[in-house]
Amino acid sequence: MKRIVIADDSATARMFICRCLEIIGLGEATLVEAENGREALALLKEEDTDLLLTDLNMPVMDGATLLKWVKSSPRLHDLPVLVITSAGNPAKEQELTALGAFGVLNKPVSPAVLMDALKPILS
Amino acid sequence: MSEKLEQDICRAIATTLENMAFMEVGKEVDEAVRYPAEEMVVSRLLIHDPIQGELYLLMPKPLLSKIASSVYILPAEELSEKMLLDMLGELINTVAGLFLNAYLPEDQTYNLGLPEKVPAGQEDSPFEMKQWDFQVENDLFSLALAGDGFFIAERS
Repeated sequence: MKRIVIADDSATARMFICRCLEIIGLGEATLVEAENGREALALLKEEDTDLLLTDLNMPVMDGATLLKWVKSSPRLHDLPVLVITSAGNPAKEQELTALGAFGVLNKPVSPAVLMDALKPILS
Repeated sequence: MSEKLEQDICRAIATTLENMAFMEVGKEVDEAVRYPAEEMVVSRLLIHDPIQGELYLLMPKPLLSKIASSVYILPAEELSEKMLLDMLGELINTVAGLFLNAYLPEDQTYNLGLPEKVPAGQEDSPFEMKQWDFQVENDLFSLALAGDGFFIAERS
């Protein structure tokens, strides 16, 4: 895992996610932060990325729109996307999985839960 | 108002603070400190659907500093105003998600607005509103839920 983009409009949430990634042993990866989907998309186009972690509810471009852009891009189509949101439930998870997300986690996320969700990618 | 709504609100606030800041939330106690309005910071989050409503988190600045200090692992004096407001926004966002996930049916999606700062004392709403007081380490703070749909559903 070399480069991870984290999209969330809350600096607190981004810091929290970065800390969880460090705890589960991904501190060596380059963690790049974006405040909204549009910024994240620009970062994804800039350099090859191994994982995108995104919130849903963000200004400018929300997480669902970002997910649609990523999955419709020939270059980014295979990028694993994990949604970390406060507004996740089974119905939302189904909707986002259909759009191409490989998982949906509810805030507040813990290192153990994040580790579990990332297992398929890490292995 | 049903016990479920109150339980879901209490669990959401307790889970949020325990998981994010390792702080235990208790019900209001007599000896808890109530801060004046000028020391309170208020954040509002709109609930767009399936029920129209608003959630308010009213927190004294000293308590918000303690929480942010615990989350950021930084001394309180190194925390900026922006970090404190962002912390409050993330707290209300997380509380809203946990509350609605517990309160609404599993197959019901919902839409939230973005947290916004509201001047203390101006947390009035056109909707019916209910406020709950809690304490963390003897500092009082409040959570208010506004939305006729929440209370009409409870009455019927």
